[in-house]
Amino acid sequence: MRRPRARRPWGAIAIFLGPTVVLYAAFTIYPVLVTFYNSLHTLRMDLGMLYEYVGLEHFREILTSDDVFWKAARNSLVWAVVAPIVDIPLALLLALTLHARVPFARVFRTVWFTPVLMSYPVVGVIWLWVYNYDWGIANLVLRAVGLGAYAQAWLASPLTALPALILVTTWMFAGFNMVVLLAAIHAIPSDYLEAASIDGARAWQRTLRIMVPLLRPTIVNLVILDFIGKMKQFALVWVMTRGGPMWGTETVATYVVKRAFEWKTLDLGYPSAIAVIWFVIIFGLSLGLTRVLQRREALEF
Amino acid sequence: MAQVLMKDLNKKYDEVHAVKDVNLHIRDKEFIVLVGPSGCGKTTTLRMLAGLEEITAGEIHIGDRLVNDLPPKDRDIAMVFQNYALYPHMTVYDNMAFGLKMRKFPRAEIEQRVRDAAQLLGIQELLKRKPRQLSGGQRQRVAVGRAIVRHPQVFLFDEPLSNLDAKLRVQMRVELKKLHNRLETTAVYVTHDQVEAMTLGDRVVVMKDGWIQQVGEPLELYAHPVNKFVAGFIGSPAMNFADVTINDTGGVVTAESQGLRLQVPPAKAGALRAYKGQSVAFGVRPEDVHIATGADPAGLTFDAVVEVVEPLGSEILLDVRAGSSTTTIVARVEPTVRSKVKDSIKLAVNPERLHFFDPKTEQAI
Repeated sequence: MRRPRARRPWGAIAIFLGPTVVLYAAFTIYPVLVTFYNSLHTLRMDLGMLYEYVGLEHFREILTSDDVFWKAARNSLVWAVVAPIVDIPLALLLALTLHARVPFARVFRTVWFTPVLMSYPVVGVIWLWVYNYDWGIANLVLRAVGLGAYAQAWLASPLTALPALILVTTWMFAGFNMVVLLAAIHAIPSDYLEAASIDGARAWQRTLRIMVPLLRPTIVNLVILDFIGKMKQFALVWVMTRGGPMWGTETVATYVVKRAFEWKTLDLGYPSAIAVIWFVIIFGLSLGLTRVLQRREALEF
Repeated sequence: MAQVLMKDLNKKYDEVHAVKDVNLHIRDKEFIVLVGPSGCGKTTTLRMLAGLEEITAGEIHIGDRLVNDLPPKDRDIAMVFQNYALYPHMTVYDNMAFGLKMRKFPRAEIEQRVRDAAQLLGIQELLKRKPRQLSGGQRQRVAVGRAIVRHPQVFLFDEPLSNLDAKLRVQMRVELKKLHNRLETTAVYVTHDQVEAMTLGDRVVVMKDGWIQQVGEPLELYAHPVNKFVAGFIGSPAMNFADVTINDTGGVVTAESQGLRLQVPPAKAGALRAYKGQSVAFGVRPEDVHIATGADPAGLTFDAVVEVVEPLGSEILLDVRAGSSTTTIVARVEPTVRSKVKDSIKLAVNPERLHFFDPKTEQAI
């Protein structure tokens, strides 16, 4: 039987979609397009936004002779690779611990989640205190346990500054990742674990051989989100180190902002080109990572 | 292979007393079915036997071992779950091998056992597939396969057929029965479907509100239900019930309601006389009501008006109203009967197979 084709209420659709489309176009699509356009020009702020077409000149310069860009890219990549490797297993461990009904689980859950609620500037200031050479808690603890020789100005050395910042984001997002994993754990039908316990699996075997594989889709999503987030890292660096010392914590995002607004080069084209390059790299790597990590078949409960 | 013994088994949750004083002796190699409406405690009983649920009070023995405090893995049982609970990230082979791997069986033996079970169940072709690539019936077989590779002492089934469509359910029912005949392993099977219970069980345990109502062979439950609940639960279409008043006039005991006046057969008359003047529940199965012929004594017949005719091919179900009353009775009659709606007909009951239940205790009289 053929149903009469429903007339689509285009008017209503336009009214409901309109505001979102306008906002999305104005604040996402348009800036992206303008950035792509700008990357092919020099754009002189001092000369009344005078455009001068330079083709791929910026790209050539960035990729062949901009040492700072390569340092920033290396830092961002290290951050984006190390963070998921540290963050997600830690979050998984926390989630499994809470799931195992340790005492005070509710308290721990709240405590671990609290950093998620704080903004980067607040977190940055707190950790500036933690890493303070004279009275920061990090050095105080080291001195208290007799490891005072290891006490140092954590954010002042190019060797320790980046790991110190990575640790901050790990602390900040452990709770978030944990809560997401905990929700995924709760969504696993109890049948599987019961079947496994009848099959003779001990608690740790049930965890490793049943639970973790079933959490795989969630873990993959968290890894990719973590990766992308760290590739774009800006605010924490800006608050804590401004990219220093010696570009030791410079990220691509902080470098773009510096080139655009701090260095008085008065050219918006060059930083736009950096942004375009980085956009392409993040896009490509995220896609590749998704392909590699996600199995073709989806799990089905 | 082992017997299972449950002694004064109880399960209490905070508010709910789910299983009450269950005493059950399951014999070696027996196929026993726990049946009852949802919330009757049958699944809880099975889960206590599996070790998935703590025992509040009482004892469970498997073989000669008290298993109350043993974890599931040490009870030497295997279970088939309602949703099969096949591990979605493992192949069929790995699903079936998992329990053996966990028990550190040698690789060759695992392979042998899985192949044997797969052959027995006709799933050799599926061993490399993942559960999501299987149909419902295939998943069901794999779930059974995972249970039998272990050669456990007791099989536990938790409503294993309820996710299959009707046709497949009938087919798998037969296969499970064949499988049990072949493996001769003690099996405990939970279902809410009384047809499954009757067809599969060597004995059937009917439960309600946490209590065991009756334990017996299927036909024994059918013919001699101990109370009104069992009488109504076992059998499809269900037994007809009517409230009747017992009268005793000159030694002839009758059961009467509006439009119904039946002479109670001598075998039951003695016991029913005690209820003289009182109302009791009367029950008769649809197949024990037939179109009256001249051979039926007047005391066993009644007049009725046909309300609904349900021709099922092999038989016809007549929904009738007895006399002028509001009592409806279903009669199962020959497919040759040509009654139509609103026809007035005369029906007769089979005197050997009338049931009476105490109005308060609902126990069979």
